[in-house]
Formats: sequence, C-alpha cells, structure tokens
Amino acid sequence: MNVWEGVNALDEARSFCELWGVDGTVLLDERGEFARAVGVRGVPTNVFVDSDGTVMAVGAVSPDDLEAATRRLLGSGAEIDPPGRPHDERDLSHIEGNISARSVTGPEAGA
Amino acid sequence: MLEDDSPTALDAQAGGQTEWSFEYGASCRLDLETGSSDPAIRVRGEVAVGLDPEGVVVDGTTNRAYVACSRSGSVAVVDLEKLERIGEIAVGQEPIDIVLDPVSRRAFTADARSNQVSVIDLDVGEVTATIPVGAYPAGLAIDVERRRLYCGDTMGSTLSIVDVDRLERLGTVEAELGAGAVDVDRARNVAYCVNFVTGSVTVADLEAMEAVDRIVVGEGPCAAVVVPDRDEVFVVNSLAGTIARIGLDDHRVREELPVPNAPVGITAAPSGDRIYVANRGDGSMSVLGCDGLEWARVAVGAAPGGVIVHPEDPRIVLVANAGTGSITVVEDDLTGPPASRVEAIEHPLVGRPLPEFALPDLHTGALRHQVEWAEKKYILNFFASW
Repeated sequence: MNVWEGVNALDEARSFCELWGVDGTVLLDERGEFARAVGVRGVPTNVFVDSDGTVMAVGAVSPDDLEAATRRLLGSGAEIDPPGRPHDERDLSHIEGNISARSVTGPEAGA
Repeated sequence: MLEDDSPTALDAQAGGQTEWSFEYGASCRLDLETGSSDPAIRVRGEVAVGLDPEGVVVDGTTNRAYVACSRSGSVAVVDLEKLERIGEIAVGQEPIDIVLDPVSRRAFTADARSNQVSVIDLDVGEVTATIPVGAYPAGLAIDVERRRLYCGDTMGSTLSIVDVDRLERLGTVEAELGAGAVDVDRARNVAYCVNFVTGSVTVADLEAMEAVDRIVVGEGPCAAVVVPDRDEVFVVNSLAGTIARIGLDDHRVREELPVPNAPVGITAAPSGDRIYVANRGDGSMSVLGCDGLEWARVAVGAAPGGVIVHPEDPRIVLVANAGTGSITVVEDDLTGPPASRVEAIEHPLVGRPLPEFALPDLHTGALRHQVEWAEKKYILNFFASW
C-alpha cells in the first residue's frame, strides 16, 4: 500500500518499486484515506490479516517482530522463507545497478 | 461523529483520562491533554507547512523555523511565536535536509533531485546561490567555526565538503552506497556519514579529506547525532529499529538501543542527557535517556522524520511530519527518567475486521477490492517512497 507521496504518486511509487525490486501487488492509497481508516500513522507499517478478515497484528516492522507476527498468522509449523543474510553480506549488485542507471539519467528521468 | 463501536469509543469505555485513538496513533497510552505519556512534556501545536517535510532548522534570532518540504520543492517559513506559516522559499527539486549558518545568516538545503545545495539568504528570504555537489544529496551538517558544510551524496556514495563562505565544493570523501545523513565531531574534525544501503558508517578525517574507518551498524542507518558531552555518536538504524551508540574515541559500537517503531530522525538535547527520536513508523517522538531508557513518548503527526532542538530554548523541540505535511512543536519539561515505564499498548484494530478497501493497482490501474483476498491470509505493507 503506497501512501502519502504528496505529488505524482503513481510515478514515485513505480520508481521506488523498480529501484528496490519490489514485486507483487501494490495498491495506491494516494490521499491516505484507507491508512486513516486502519489507524496507520507511520511508514512502514505492516497489517496482518487472517483468512476471515480479522486483523491479527499491526506494526511488526523490525526483522524479528516481522518473522514472529508472520509465524503467528500462518500458524505453528508453517514454512517461512529463511531470513536474509546479514546486511553486510547481502548481494547489493541489483540495487547498485539500479542506482547507477539513475545516476546517469537522473532520478526524475522517465519517472 | 464516531460510531459506538469505533476504536476510540471502545477504548474510552475502559475509563480514565488516558485514551488511545486513531487520531493520536502512538503505540502507547497517552494523556489526551498533553498528547504524551508524561504530563511534563506536551504538544504546543502543529503547523501545516507543505508536502513531505523532512529537515527543519530554527533561526534563534527571529524565532522562525525553516522546513524543507521535499515534494513541494520549497522551504516553508514558520513563525514560532504565532505558530503559523508565514512564507515559502522556492529551492531546487526535492529538498531533503536543511542546516543554518548563524554567522552569514544563510540556510542551506540539500536538493536531492537537483544534485545541488541551495543557499538561502534568511533576511532576503530567497535563494542567492546554488552549489553543485554529488548525486542525490540527502544529508547535511555544518561546522560553523571551521566554515564548512558537509553533504552526504546518496547516489554518488560520497561526502562532499563545501566552503560556506566561498560557496564552492572543496573536495569529496569516498563513502558507500546510500551515503546520506552526516554529523561532525568538531573537537576531532571528523565526520560520521551513514550509508543507508550498506548499513555502515564512513568515518572521515575532514582535514585530510579521506575515509579513515568503517563501522558496521544496523540495517537502514539514516540519521546520526554527535553528543560531545558523552564523546559518542548515536546512529539511527531505521530498518532494525535500533540506535547504535558509538564511541568517538575508538569507533566501537558500545550498545544497540531498541526504539519503538521505524526510527528515522534524531537529535540531542544540549544538556547531553537525552536524545529525541522521531518514530516514522507510528507517528510519535520518543525521549530517551542516553542509556536507551524511554522517558516519554509524544504523539506528533504522521510519519515524522526531521527533529531539532530550538537553539535559544532547549525545552522546545520541533518535529517534521512527512505524512501529515506539518511540523509539531513540543515543550519538554522532563527533569529525568520517569517513575514508571512508557506503557505500550496494542493497536485497537487487532482482533477486529479490517476495513474494506477498493484501491487502484499500481501496475494495471484497475480497482482492486478486498474481496479478492477473501479467505486468504495476507500482510498489507504501508510504505512511502521517501
């Protein structure tokens, strides 16, 4: 859920997702009305929803909290993709490539 | 008019003066009158400034705040006596950070999408010069005595060094990917530039203009403040939800302090006994002792970031709220740690149905309805690109 961009929400959100390799469904809450209805007062915020539409948790943005809340949502014994490597060991080449490309053309070009 | 089963009404029925509501949103029990967890710290007011405000500074001479509104491409001028916006100064594209030189009476903005620093004459109220720096400048620090400005060039992975009087870049120091926020140990003439992407801090010898050390910190470091009285620098790790407390003498991380929710901004009280942390994740500001104990939490606007202490009145703290497009002015009269801990509470929506939504898909433009995810377990991640 992309929220509070201010201007050019579509372009800004799209650019952000391309830069950081964000896949999956992204919806635009441009004026923040849905965020307000949910009681979201900051970003990032995660809202965990059970199969009957009940909210199980709100927040949980630190890696440990995120994993714990995800396990609770999925139930004990659920398989979760293993956590990423420590940040100083991660392969950042795709991000570096995206940033290098932007540095040449300018972040606003083609946004 | 709230419905009877609204989270606010339900919580109010629990009795007492304290109440949590969506209007406040901070993840702890608050006093409605002060907007905080402790009556000794209170919100004085909130002022609408512009789109996505990030950096904020105060001109102590005129008692005005200058707020870099990144998506407005301008700096808002706020009269802190009247608590109202009184002007706007156009700068470059996406001004993220701002610092002030009281000697020349100029302010400087890091205009991220213009790859420049704008120079604002505070008395004239307009930009009088621009200084080319590295790619996507996002963080600034100033050494008024040495007449130097330091700029973290996020996409250039460099730290630019600028002469404040000649208004020209003197050189750069190689940093790392995501180089942004920076602060200076003025006693040693050493800069600490945080590198968001690599999760590290580049330590730069400013006399030699070269990197001399590298410190691994938590994920997503995005702010730093040097506290001279403690001989330490505090680095905010936004994605890890911690603050790294680092010694200036040995560059070692002494402790990782947990903080509430996606901390993004930080500043220190002149007394050196407390730090102020803007929690972008839940619309609050935490007052922490330097040992990490949370003294109080204050509800501010949505997605706060930049935070600064008033140079003439250290009780006054200003917070820039990117989500709300405002600044919050807080008065801190805390004398020390609280008698009781800040009481964290669960979000009132937990256990209740998610409100319905119908929102456009970023990729297809089609309206997507909640019913598409019926009978599925899922996570909604609210994010902004800034």
